[in-house]
Amino acid sequence: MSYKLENLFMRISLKLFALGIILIGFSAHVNAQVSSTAAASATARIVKPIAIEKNVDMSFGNIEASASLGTVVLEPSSANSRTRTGGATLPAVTGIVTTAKFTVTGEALLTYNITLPASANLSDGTHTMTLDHFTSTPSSTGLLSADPGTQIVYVGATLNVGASQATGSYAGTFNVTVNYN
Amino acid sequence: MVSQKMKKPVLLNAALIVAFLLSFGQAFAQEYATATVSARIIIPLTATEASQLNFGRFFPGNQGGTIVVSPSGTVMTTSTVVPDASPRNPGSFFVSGEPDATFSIALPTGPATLTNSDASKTIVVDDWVTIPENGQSGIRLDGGTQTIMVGATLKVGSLDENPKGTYSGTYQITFAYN
Repeated sequence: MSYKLENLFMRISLKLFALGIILIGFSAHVNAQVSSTAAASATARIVKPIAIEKNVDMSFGNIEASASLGTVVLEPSSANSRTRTGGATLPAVTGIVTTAKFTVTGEALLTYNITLPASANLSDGTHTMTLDHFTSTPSSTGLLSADPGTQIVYVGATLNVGASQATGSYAGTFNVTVNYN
Repeated sequence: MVSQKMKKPVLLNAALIVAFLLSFGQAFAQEYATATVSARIIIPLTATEASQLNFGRFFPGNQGGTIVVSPSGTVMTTSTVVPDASPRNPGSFFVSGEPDATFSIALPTGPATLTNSDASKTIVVDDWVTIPENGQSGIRLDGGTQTIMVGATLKVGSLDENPKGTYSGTYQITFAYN
């Protein structure tokens, strides 16, 4: 009798233990489900990644410097046109004049930000010139076309030509960054 | 007690998943491209007069006429003009600038006027010619320099119209990069 009682107690406690395990497992399962569901709704994987590719480099062509400061401005358009101010003059033998051109690709009909540098440097190895007042078409916010999602971005800037800027070929680089709004 | 122990790693897992997805999203949300930028500063075009255009001494005669000094230095007279042995020469200009660039010359569009010492009489100079000529693609700065010779025609009147004396004046010639 006393043995049977003991046995019964064991069985009950075993059952309780098994129940406990099930409960724990269930509770852990529920927790994991809730967490992963919430995270899945925050993912960006449903959007085609944005990308930007350079098609044409920027080139200001031939510039004649003088004793006074001047600037050469490249317009952000397909016209590849430049204007001048101050002591910089533009000979009719222009050299190669091109506005920088980029292609942005991504999810159709999404808008994105265009981030241009504040300034960049050009050097001939010894002397430098600075490039600033970057402009783009479209400016600041772009819109990717309907399928496929692309847009052409033209980038212009202002080249600061120093007083009696040393003659020579100057070169530099700059980055254009795009991200989804 | 047991249940709490189990919860902790699950939450940690969830946090890791969120962090992973955020970094995943960021990596694709922003992209940049690099462009090169170039410019060429060229040597300014300069020109200096190396020698003055000089028609020399001559006798106009009773009808006057013309004296032509060609850019190559050949002298020709017409009508009653008689030149003497004095030197005559075309004008010459030394032009320098960017090697192998081309430039063009803008000659006076009309006559230049020479006046005598008391400014009472004048002679005109016209029909400007240069060697080399502009041509279709301009004049090339071989090695960065070029010499331009300028010739013209002086139109003198009779001795009454242009009595003896020294006549002088200026003309303007413009050189510019093409």
